[in-house]
Amino acid sequence: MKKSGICAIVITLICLTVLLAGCVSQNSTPTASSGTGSAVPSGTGTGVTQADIVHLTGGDYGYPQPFSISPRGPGSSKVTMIFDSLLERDEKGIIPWLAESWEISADGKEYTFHLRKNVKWQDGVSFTANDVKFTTDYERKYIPISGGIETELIDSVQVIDDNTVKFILKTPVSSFLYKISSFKIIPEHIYSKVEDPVKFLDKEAVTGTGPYTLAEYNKEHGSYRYVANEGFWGPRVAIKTVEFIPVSNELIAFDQGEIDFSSITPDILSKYLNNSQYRLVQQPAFWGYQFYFNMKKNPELQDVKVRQAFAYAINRSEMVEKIQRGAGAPGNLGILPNDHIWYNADQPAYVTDLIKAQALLDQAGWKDTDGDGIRDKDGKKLAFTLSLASTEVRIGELIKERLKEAGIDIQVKALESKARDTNLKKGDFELLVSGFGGWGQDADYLRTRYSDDATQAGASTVSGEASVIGYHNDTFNTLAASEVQELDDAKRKQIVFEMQNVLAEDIPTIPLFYTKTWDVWTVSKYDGWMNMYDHHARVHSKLTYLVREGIAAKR
Amino acid sequence: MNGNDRNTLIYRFVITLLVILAINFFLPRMMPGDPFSTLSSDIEGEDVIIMTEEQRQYFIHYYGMDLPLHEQFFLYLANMAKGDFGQSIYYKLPVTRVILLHLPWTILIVLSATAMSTIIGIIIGTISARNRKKGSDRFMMAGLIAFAEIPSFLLGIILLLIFSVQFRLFPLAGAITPFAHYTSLLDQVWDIAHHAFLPIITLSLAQLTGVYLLTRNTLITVSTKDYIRTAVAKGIGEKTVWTRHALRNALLPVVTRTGFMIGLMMGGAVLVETVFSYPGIGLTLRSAVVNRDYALIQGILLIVAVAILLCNLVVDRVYRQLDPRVTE
Repeated sequence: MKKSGICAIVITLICLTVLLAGCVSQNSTPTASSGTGSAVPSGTGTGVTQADIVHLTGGDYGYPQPFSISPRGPGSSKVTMIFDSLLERDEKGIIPWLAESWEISADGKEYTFHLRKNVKWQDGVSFTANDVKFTTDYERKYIPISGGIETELIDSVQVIDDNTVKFILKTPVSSFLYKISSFKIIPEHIYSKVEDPVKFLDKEAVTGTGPYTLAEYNKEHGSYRYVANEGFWGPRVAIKTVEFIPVSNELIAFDQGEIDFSSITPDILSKYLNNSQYRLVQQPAFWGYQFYFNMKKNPELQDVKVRQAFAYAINRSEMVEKIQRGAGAPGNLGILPNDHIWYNADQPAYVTDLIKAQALLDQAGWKDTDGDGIRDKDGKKLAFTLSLASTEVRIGELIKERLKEAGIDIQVKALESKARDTNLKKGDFELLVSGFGGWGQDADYLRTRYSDDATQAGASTVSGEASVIGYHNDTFNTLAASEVQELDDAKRKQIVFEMQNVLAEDIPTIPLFYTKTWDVWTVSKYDGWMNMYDHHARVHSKLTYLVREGIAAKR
Repeated sequence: MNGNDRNTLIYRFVITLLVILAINFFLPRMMPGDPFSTLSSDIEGEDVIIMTEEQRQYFIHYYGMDLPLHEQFFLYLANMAKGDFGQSIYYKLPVTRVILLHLPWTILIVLSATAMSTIIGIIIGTISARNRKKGSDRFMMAGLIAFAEIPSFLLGIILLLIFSVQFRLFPLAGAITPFAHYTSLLDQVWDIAHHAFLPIITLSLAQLTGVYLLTRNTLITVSTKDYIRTAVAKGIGEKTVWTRHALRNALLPVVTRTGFMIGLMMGGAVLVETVFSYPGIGLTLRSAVVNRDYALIQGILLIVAVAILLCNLVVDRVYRQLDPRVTE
């Protein structure tokens, strides 16, 4: 073990880190391309609606309580199977859950929830309004990873009686009921003794009021077994036992019958089409790629004509065809995808049009004076660097090609995903692409992303979540300020429609495309898969595991 | 070994350890990003919880990442001295526990694969050298070299498709049958072996050619040496000449290689563990890097480094056994 030994170790360590950092972004990207047919679900009629056991893709996502679950992947849904919220979501909207009914005061600041009676925690203790108050207060001190609520919005919670609880907000927040629908209530009699919930991994940490209990969890092997909670207050459980098991390749495991539900890539669609054994359904378009402008770093992007030219030049439909092989939807410039309940169909469409893009750039004063194919103005070329993750290079190449035709020069810079995120957060980029989910959530996200009014009532802007660097629009800020206070859903929807129009006119960002992944499942194993109105993954919704009766009845 | 030498050795060891500790600490933190500022998904369709600024600050404080970097470093050294590797941010467990859960699986496949590839490599290398320039030698040589060019993850996928998917002889993923409750130890051993078989074969095949070529080439070089001619002239029989004289000398570089190979295999294990979804330390390190789980990255890299140091030590010892010329 001489100097060379130390050297060898140092080099090995560096290599390992570099190698791993390299590995990180190498997710399997399908290569072959083939046109896909139309969206025809396979099997007709209904299959099994009540099953004894169903197997799903596992992997370790942490212990399923709100403080110890992993922030990545399907962890939150594993918490949902055990813990309940006051409200729940079905395919149409928000439905009563632990709260049977509620009232909102005229000023929009007081929410009174009437709780269901005879609800018991899985250890037999009764659930009361005190648990709701406790959860809110506890989470002011210990912030959960999943299933929490922005406690800074809440002034106080009052327990009126055992079955009535009142939330008093600091200012009206129009999406408060939506926030409540994912706020998981934890048991006071267990958690009140817990000083560090992150490390609370005992059996009793996963005591909820929900439809399932955690029967077995193996961190090492990434397996979870959920069994029906015998004492569940709500609708019957449709699958008695749900097992999440480790798989190396989802498709192979599905083909071999090891798991009963899978997502598939379009190139193998034909295998399951017109086969009565399987059902084949596309997910709603709630996961997508967004294209960012850094208007602070590049003042030339502050010109709305230039941004509109980008929107006309970048071919969003082509990306759906070439990259998604049809399993997607081109982005709407009003941000909300077509499947969003409040999508405004009447907005500028920006069908790819090179002539229009060129005309807009001409109007903005960008002309190719030296004949090199790149437009310039006052000696400055219209050239940018486009940062993206190494898995998204194909998106970058298509953008580069199309913008080149319009006379804009793009250099694609592929980074590791975290590095790209860091640059986005710090505003250290010119143009950037990032992919994320949640596009189906309450439309209030338009406000938190695009309004830069810091003084705004109830403003809880998410940490740089897609913060749009250097974007400011007074009209939009005014709309956003009224949206967050509007309690009448019909009126709020109208405001959201207007917000979409303003954004589509102004183009602060360009949603490139949303994915519409195909789900396939074995009809004879379980056929009750459904997705919530705001989320793309069917296995993530609570109602997917329940018999659709009583309060969970199909609407 | 006299006292002076021993002191130098300890001194060197401490320096090495400090350098490793420092690299382990600073390297992960030099990567862009932190564990709580994810904005995008890595996989299409994946959900990621994008934390609010409040949440982020809360967790940065919770894990002591708001302290100045040098204070964190000294805290880390102080904790290490107490044997506390810290708390994994992603797994919410002490780092030592995460490592203890996953390291044995990697050790199992890496050691088995090393033993297997070394033994088989030496045997067929010897056969090849003895039949030099004959058909079987040429055939083996061409076949194995072609084989060496297949990346281990691809090889893994091919084996998986043939033996698990086509013939259904082996399980598709994991290290044990999920939720298995064994009735006997034999059952358990069989289940583990059944699951480990393909990963071990994949790793061994990836290393086999190296051992084979080294054995064959050194044997051929050795066989032209004077002492071999002398041995043959003594008439002690071809077999004894090959085993006692030629092979023993030819094994020296092979042993050295095997020692280094264990370290290298930790790298190869990452890919194989990914293909077979095997719960080893490689896969854990990968997720630690993806999630910027600093404490866990530090812990695993330290274990890897110590493992390499130990391998070097063992190689030193074995080398002495094989080569009497190398003495204290």
